[in-house]
Amino acid sequence: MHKKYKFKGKAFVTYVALSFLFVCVFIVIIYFGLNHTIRKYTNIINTVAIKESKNDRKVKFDNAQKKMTSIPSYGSKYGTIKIDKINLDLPLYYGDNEEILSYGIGHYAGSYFPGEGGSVILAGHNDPGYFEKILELGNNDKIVLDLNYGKFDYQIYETRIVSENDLSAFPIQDNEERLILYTCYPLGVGHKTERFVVYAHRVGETDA
Amino acid sequence: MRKFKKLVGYILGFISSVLLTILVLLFVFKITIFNQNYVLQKLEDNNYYEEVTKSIKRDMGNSLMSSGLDKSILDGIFKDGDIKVDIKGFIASIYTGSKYKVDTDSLKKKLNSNIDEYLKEKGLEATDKKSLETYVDGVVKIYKDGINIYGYLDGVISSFAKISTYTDMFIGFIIVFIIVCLVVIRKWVHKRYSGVVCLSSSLMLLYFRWFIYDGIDFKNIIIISDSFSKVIRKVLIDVGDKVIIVSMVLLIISIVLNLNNSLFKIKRIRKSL
Repeated sequence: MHKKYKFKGKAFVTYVALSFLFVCVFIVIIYFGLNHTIRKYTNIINTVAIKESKNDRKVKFDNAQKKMTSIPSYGSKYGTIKIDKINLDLPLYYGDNEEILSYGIGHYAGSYFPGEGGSVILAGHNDPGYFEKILELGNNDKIVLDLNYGKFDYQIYETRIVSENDLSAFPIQDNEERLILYTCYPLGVGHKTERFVVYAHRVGETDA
Repeated sequence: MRKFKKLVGYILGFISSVLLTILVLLFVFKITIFNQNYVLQKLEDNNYYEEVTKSIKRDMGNSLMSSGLDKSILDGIFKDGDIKVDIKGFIASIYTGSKYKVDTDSLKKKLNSNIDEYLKEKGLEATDKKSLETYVDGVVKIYKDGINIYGYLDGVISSFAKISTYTDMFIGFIIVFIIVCLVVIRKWVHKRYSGVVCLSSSLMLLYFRWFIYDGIDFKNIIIISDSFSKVIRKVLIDVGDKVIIVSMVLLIISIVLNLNNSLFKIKRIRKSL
């Protein structure tokens, strides 16, 4: 008895084509049905939870519109804060969670960026090496933010001690550019129920 | 009637492919994220316990700076091994749906005793006892937050065990449904149609994996803390790799089934005598 092999390519091609048809329908359903939802959540994750990789995300500032067109990754360093009077020169990070504040000064993500013409709120621990010495600052002292998209000069016009729950001390507004630094107050043992706040307005036009 | 049956068969084939894709994803989650031993192994492999210990000690050291007290007050308030035990207990509570209470009484007691000793040694007196108590509570909170990841997973704990149970039920249901579909398809379309289902599912898995992983930079993800993020990264990359492996297996199975059925047909030719 001989065995003869017969090629039935048509059936094979039909099955493969049918599989690809199913996959195409699947892709269409995913794309039109779930794409928006999936992209929304991946964008949230990318905005909040991705730290700057070695190939840094390019930070871009639109000079004409006075607006950031590409913001730093949350948790990434994007500049330094310098205050000559108290020999302060610290890294500035985007975000202000506990981990970030242990590395340097944190920029509250709900506030504006320097140059955008609104409130810029920065926080730091009141420990040596952080914001301990801002308590020595007074009116007319200068603050410089040296960022990877430009340099911004500020001059202090007020310092205040406020309650930790006083949100009116940290207004988020876009009428004028205001730099607000704060740290826990007073120094010493225990939980701090107050905040020492420094207010500064932008001076001059620096490059951005 | 025959055409209608074939059409229904094709639709069931598509549904079976999608369900098989979902089944594979659920199965991968079942053996990874929903598997306590797997998670504990990942923590061990990524030195999670050591990282958390370092982080707790660093945060306690940071809290010391504004207290005016010496770092010696933190000596011996807890053992490194205690952190591992507490983290394991916390992880176990996630999978059982119970609440794990981090025992900090001995830590508090030792810290208070160290502070009293330090003050006595320096001839100092604590005038603001309430403030000191708040400081001690702050140190205890640092320990607890290190164990339970700052409380961010509290919402997950209550539902994780339920999700795992529902996943089991769902897997069972999908398996039954797929079997029923394949039996119907076998009768109404072709007896070897399962190769199409496997091939479609394999390609769907590859597409879905690409779609999700293309959108998120998993290698640089940071959630809550560096140590936690390292484990999350490894787990997510591992899940992605497992999905690829299973899809390759399905691809091979589909090729075998299709080849077996459609490519060759053995015809026996009787040689007449």
